[in-house]
Amino acid sequence: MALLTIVILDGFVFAAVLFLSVGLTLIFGVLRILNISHGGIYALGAYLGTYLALKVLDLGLSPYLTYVMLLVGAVIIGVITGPLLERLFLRRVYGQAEAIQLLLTFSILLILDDLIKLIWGTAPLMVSTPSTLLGHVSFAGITYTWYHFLLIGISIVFGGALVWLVRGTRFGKIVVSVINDREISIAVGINVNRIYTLAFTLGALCAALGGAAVAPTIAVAPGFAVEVGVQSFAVIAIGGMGSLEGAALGALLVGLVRALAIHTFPELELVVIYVLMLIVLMVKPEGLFGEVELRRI
Amino acid sequence: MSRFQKPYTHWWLSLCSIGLVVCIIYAAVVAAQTKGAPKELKLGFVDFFSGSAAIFGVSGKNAAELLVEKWNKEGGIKGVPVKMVEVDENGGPDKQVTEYRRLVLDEKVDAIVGYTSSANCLAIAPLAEELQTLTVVHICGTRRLTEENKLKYVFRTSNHQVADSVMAARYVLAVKPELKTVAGANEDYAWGRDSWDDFKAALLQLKPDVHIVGEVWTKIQAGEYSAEISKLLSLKPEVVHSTFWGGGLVTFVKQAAARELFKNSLVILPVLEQSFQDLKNETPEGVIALPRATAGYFLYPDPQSHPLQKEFVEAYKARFGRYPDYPAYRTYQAFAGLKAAYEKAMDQAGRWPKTEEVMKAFEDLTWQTPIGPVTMRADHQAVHAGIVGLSKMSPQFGFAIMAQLKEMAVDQIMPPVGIKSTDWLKTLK
Amino acid sequence: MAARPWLLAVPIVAGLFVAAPFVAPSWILFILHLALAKFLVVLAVALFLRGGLVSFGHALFYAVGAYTAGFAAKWFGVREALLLVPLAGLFGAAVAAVIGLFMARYRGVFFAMLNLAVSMILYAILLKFYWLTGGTDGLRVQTPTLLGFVPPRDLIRMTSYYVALVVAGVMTYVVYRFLASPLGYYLKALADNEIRIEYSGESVQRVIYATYVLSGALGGLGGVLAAFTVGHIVPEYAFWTQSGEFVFVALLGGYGSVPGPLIGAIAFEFIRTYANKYAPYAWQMTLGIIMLLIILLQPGGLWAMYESVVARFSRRAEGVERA
Repeated sequence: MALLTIVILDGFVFAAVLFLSVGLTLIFGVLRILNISHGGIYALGAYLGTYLALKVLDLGLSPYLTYVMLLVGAVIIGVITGPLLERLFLRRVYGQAEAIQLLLTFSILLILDDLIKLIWGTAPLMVSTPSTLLGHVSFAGITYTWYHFLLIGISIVFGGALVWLVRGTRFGKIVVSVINDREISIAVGINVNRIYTLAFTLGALCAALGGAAVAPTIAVAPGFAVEVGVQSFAVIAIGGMGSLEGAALGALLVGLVRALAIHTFPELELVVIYVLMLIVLMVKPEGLFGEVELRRI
Repeated sequence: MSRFQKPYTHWWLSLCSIGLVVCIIYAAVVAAQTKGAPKELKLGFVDFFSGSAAIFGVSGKNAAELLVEKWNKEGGIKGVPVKMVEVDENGGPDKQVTEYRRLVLDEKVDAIVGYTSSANCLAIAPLAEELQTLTVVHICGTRRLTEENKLKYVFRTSNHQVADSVMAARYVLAVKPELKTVAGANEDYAWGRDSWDDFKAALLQLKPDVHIVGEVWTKIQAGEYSAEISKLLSLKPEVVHSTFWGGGLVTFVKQAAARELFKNSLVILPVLEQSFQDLKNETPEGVIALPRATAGYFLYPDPQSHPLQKEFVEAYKARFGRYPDYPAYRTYQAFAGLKAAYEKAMDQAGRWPKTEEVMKAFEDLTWQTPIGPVTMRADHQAVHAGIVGLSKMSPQFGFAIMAQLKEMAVDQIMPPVGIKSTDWLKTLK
Repeated sequence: MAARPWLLAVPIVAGLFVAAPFVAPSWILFILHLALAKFLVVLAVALFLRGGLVSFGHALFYAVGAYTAGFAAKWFGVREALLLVPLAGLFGAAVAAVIGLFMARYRGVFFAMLNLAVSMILYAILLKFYWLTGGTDGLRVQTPTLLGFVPPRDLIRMTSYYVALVVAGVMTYVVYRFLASPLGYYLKALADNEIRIEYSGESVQRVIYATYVLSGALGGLGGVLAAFTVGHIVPEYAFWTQSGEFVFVALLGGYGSVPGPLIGAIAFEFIRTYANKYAPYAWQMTLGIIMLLIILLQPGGLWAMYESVVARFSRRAEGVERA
């Protein structure tokens, strides 16, 4: 029983992957491009958030401002990289071969990775104040920090807000219509280009937020986003590419399965994620919540 | 006629005498430089300059640059200036193998100093033998380097991890004689695996009724340990042994401290001393800390009574704003040993020595460092004493230092020449 | 004049490669050797790109080939080139034969993702089962013996290089014949319109499956040759960014032809080595920018650039002035 509780709590702490995956699946749903550079935006969000938080602490201001700085850093990154990448690069490869699109985003990832090294150097950045400020709490005999629960809360709220945005608002309905049929949307008068940019920016914002939220719990160093990045691919493949609920469920599943493996068979910790992905893709190739793609003749 | 000729004669005379003087000076300078000496001694230096382990490698780089500059100011090694080519150790053993090849074939270095990661030094050792390049390993800890192969071109100038594990075992039993349960948290590669195996072997040899309740393994410099910390907390061991290092250790300490791991268990961290200045006041108190099995750190031996230590600590602090940590000391050991070997070989040969002569001079050599003497053995493994203590915040310095310091001698912590560690551990008393 | 350049170009290029160990410094030879090994895997990826499919998992076969040599050395002490090279190709093909059975049903991003998943599974296994595979420490692979003989010290690397050259040459010919065969043409047709292939009576599954097995063999061969030249292999050989690198090189060189991947592989290794030497923290960015430029300006890659230059000159030579 205690093991189960621990595993569930550890699984929930996988909020970072959740943020990342939700953004990734949104971008895929709208633009039909798998954005490999997503991990790079996540890293940028973590770096800028950490940097601003450290500046605030250096200036001697209230430590609670670090939370604000993390948010600000993430928003800046999302709002800058989103339109920039979409307009400058992605727009040119819509409709081209998949290989070209994937490679474009892969190249952007490489550039972002080195850009981070050029701006912030190669030494790791650490700001732990946000995660230790709120103190700790005991649960099932194990101590957790309140920040972990805050992360869980934020990701649930954010996920819910995103779902509401897509299903409940007019903007969301427009996005859904663009996802379903681009041509008809243009015919109806929707500015599809702008929707694309907005969707990508939203996805980038998610990634940057994920990075900034997780940064206080780790040491932010070049290359720290690689593992999480590829796990987010697994998550959206499991959940269904293009489905927000799928991304949430996928992140939860992957987190739980990984935590279970660490506590019982540590050797299988990484294997289970990809085996799960393989099984889901073989049984239901479009993912748990994905829509079947019809072959258009 | 005479009026014209006199200036001419004087002119020629002046020229000749100046020329003669110049030739004499030149000959003197050339003679002062050893006969057959190269223009410069090109040394490759390999350590972590990027990524999570960078805070570790930068110490080594600082110490190396400090020493090389000091030597070049004094004229170099017996008159030959030293030029360093720095290579980043980040990126995995296969990348390091390629970089090693590049250093030898493309940069044409005379010798290579470096290698912190056990995975990397194991990978380049065969390459050193193949390319016949003198390689001095300064920090890498796996005992397999010197025990599993007969080394010719590779030398290690500091204790290997058996010393760390044995010191940890002895000290923890001194602090907690009634110890019952132990858990391990280590990185899943040569360093973590060997250190944990040897710690277990030493501990169980000294106190057979200790129970190992569990172990967690992470990737090198994983950076995220929540699930592992949960598992450690649920195992509730009296003692936790962990050989995390560098950026990974700093993150682990912060995450674990926030979740009260240090309150519930006595934690042994053999590489903690290096992280003191990065953790500042976040270092938990009462952790068994070592600068690995190094004979001292910036406060021991006391700089006030040891001139070499005083000189190094003050120069390092003045230049880099930090006190030297154990990677800095081990880098000093490596470079000082290499220099001593070159000088001894030169004295023996009477001219600039060949690589094989330097290698021969290196064996059975003893040289001085700020923290004491280091002796190289015939099996190319150097030995020296080691210190261990408990972490304690120092208001004077703003970071933790070692309290209740204990120094252990070489024969207590390192297996003798020719005896395998696994066998030696079985005879531990 | 159109047919002639071929007959002249092939012996010249082959001659250059054969003469390399005698004229090139050892460091350059090392880069060439590695490029030859990786060229095979890039060729495998290029085959799929021709068919309109992206594989982000060919590092799987690369790792299978490399670890064939690694395990042979670790568990059996075998380092014979004439045994290990065909064995690696065989294992690569065998793994592809098993995986291809279900992989052939997928297209587009799902094809890419599934490939990625399988290669990451191998990565996870190689990484985690430390006592079996050496984990992140990796395994040492010695330079191979030839027919049981250990070549003399100064000839060791040259022998290894020639083994790689022979294998690369043979496989280039095999791929060339494959592309000239009906299966090869159907592969090209796959990128255009899959339905028409089925209407014309050929099974698309068969085409993809056959290509998959061939590419698996190529990957395995590339892996074992790379293992022989680098001398140390790690689980990252199966990581997805390694696959990404292969796709990158395929596009860099141009996947529409057989020489394209070779040029791409050589260019990539040189760029990477020298960018790494002079700007160790900006080499990824250098590669990324080069890639972006190629994608945006000349998606046909270096080979297409070369062809357009040649075409310009041959038009001039024929005296035709095109407006």
